[in-house]
Amino acid sequence: MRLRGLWTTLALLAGCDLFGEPAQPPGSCSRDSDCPAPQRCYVDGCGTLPSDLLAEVITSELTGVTSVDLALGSPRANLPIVLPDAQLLQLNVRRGAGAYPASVQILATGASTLLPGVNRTTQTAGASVSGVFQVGLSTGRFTVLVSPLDPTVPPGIQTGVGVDAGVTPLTIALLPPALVQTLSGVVLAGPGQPEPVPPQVQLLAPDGRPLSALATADPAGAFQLSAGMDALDGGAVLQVTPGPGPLAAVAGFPVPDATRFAQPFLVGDTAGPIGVSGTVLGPDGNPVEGASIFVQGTVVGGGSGNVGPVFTARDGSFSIETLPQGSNGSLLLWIIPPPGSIAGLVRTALDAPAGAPVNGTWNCPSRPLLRGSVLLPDGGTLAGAGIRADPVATIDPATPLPPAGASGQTGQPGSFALLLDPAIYQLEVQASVDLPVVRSYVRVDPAGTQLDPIAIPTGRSLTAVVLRDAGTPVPEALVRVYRNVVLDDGAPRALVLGEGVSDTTGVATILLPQQ
Amino acid sequence: MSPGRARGLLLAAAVTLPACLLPQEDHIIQPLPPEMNQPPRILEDKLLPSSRFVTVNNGADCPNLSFLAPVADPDVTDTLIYNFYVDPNLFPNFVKQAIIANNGLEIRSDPATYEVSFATPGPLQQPGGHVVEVLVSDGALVGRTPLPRTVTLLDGGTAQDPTYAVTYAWTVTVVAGPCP
Repeated sequence: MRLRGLWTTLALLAGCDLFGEPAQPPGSCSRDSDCPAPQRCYVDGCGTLPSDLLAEVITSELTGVTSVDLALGSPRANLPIVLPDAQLLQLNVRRGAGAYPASVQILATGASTLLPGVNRTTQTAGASVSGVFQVGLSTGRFTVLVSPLDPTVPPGIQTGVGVDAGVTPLTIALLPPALVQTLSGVVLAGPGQPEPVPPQVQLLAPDGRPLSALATADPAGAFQLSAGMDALDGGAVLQVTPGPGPLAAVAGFPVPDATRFAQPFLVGDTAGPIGVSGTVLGPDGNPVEGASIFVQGTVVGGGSGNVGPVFTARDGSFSIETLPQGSNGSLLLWIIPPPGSIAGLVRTALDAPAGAPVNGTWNCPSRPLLRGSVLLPDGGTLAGAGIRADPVATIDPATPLPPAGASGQTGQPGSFALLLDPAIYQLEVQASVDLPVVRSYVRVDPAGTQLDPIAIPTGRSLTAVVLRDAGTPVPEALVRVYRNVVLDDGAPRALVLGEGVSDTTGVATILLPQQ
Repeated sequence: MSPGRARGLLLAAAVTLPACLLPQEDHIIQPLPPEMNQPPRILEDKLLPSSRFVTVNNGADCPNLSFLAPVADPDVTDTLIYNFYVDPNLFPNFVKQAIIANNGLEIRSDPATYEVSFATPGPLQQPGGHVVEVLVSDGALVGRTPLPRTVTLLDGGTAQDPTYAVTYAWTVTVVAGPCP
């Protein structure tokens, strides 16, 4: 009896199938050799990821938030990403033979050299007795501008500064007093008539480089600028920017030599503002509510005006004030309907001479539709997938770049339709947490665009270990994986494929679409 | 089979087969009440631009200005929504709204992003001082106010679970002029 019970127990236990090796699901692996060539083994199975992946690794240090760009090479599981122990610009600010110890503002603007279209800006301020600043700066090519707080010291600028991974030394020499000249002038709205609010003035090189500090004129319009002795050798531009308050124009005056400062700089914006009002109608004849209205262009006196935004009311009406036009066709009226509106963007000449208000009705064209559908890896359709389109480039020089895109979801048959002004957009499709986000660049034509079905590929999770030079894991590093593509106009552009944040052990897991 | 051998077999089975499921005591664990929602947060040490103060030129040729705000939420299943505003004191409507899907982790993969092109009219084209603000919420928003969620309690009743919104703002100084 007891023996029978024993055999019964053993038989039941054998049914648990614990005596044999469990069979691995198809496609699973523990090493690359488990996968058929050219696939590799990732944490979620065998697969193939593109071999031209690029990464941007964003980390935070005391010196600032920086990005390091690098090529990932052939992607494999537990890919090491080694960052330098320090990613910074070692900036040495000098004046004459010594360090410049007073307060400066440091502004570095540039772009990644590895990731086209990824722009970067870093700004800091302070003073250093040694003149040495450690500024966290991402990899790329930068213009570094050092602006002393003392307006008698002209700013120093260095263009084309290549910043690689690690520490990049740079010395910027500010002009010593012996090489600085003082330029005094007067800026007026009209002859004998100062601007109601004193404007700001700055001397710029023809290519936009600042040659002096930004200074504010006094109530009578008088100002002083300090610039290098040779600042005017290649010609320069005096940029006049209105102060806050009444309408005024931004003006740029060519300065061939220092004698120009003997004459007042007349902005010529003495004419009173004129009102522009009217109604914005959509393609269906109904008023467009919430459209942004801007007026931009050359105004009376030759300066540039830029007013707005004001927003259309429920009945499509708006009212805005601008300085009168400089000449026929020199002002443009922009009407930017809100996202989701069937009305499209309008940029049209505005006839706004001095003396009389302008009133009109403006009709927006139909906003084109971007249509498409989403297919799952098994060919099935998916409702509820998130769709987002962000404008990145114009379709041609004559068509303005819209300021915003749109978002939505796929409907029951897996299809979607977004109302978008003509442009090149980055289209993002997020099907589910388990599937990779698919991004691509799409062109929306004035007549609309019908996309081929977007097939969501299966994804593979790339695991990367983010380390410092010394081997220390880096937690909370944001790893963005890109691939460079070429837009319709031939311009290269980096396309985000996936993102992930490293954990306490430095491991980041990034779900990427398979090739 | 001798009793000693049978005991040995049973002992061996007990040692080698610990993973096999065996009947357990029928003790039903009572479900826990739903956890209260916790607020999301903006990872301020990972923001781009990293400085709260930013100076840019507004020339049409100037590169786009990108804002990036990584976010986290201890409620890993929460979907986050973010709005960007420019000069919200003047223009209360957002200039961009988007969703950050959950990735099963507290720190989300996708940051909140906003890109400004100076080739297109916008509030940031005007020279002077501006504020760019990002608002991140784990609930539906009415304007800037997150709506509470209605949760079902164990006794079948309902309660209001608050949702949260957190913000960060940059001060942007726009200078008239092209970019060198």
